[in-house]
Amino acid sequence: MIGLQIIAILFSFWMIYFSYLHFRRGEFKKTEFIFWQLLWVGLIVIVIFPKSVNFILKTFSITRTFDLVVVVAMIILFGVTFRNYVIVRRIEKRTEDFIRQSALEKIDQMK
Amino acid sequence: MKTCVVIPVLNEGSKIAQIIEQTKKFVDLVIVVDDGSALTKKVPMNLSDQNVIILYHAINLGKGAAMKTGCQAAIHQNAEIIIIMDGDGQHKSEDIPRFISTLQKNNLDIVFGTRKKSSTMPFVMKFGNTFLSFISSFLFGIDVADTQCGFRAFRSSIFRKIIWNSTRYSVETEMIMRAGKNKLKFGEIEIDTIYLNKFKGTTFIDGIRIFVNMLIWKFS
Repeated sequence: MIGLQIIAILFSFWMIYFSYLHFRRGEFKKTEFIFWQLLWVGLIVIVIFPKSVNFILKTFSITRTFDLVVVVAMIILFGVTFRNYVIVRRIEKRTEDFIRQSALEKIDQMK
Repeated sequence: MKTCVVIPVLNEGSKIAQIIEQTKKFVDLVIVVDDGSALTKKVPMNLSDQNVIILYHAINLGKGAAMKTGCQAAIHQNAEIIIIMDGDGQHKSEDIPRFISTLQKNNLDIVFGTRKKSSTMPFVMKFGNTFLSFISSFLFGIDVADTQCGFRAFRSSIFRKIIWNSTRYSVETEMIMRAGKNKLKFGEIEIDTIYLNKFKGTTFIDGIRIFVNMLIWKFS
């Protein structure tokens, strides 16, 4: 378990650095930056102090902290995937409208 | 009645010139939509004249999107009958007058081309077509023998009723679905098809996508 904990902590630090980098480049808003920082810091806390979430485990009848982390990760993944899907569809639609409009401008000029 | 042919093309380059020349004889206006072809394979601008309009998509959006651009341009040019045909030489422009006369004589809203089930038609296409025809008949109550044939003609007045959202190969099926839902008067005519490149056009994976889309359209 120690090995897995070390990997999780190193990965979290790596992601904290990346979140910070995106924030400094202006690609993340402050709220986005805080969200990701809290997420990774939270993971580090849970990994170092697994018993700190015992009250959650009892409430949801989950046996191990590891299971809780997996369940939460799955929920976040589904949420992020859905959000990405919505964003991609929106961008596709806007791109299509823009490209088609540009093509049709030639027709307008002919009138 | 002003007639217009819309030809969506991708990477056909100057090969399209021959198709344009042949097609011009049968209609008042030809609109070619180059759907983001590679720089060396773009439709040359000098092919346009008084009866030929060439439009360019800056990036590839898919056949459905190119068809939509072409049809909107045709309506802008006051076309009353719009014919859509493929730009890869699969369809014979000599069939265009039959589309127009069938539409007018029978007072139809839309005419679908049906490819002859010859021995040259690849087996996967034959099977896929029969399967998709059965599904479209079952789901939307419209019995079209060839759901994937891109050669079709319709009155511009019904464009709003059949306007599609699909940007890629589901567009043909979506048109049929919308024609069925809006109870449009439709007809079919048999056409010859030349299969030039078996790697172009609708693939097996596209067929599965179309089937999934049909289920989504039905239940959404």
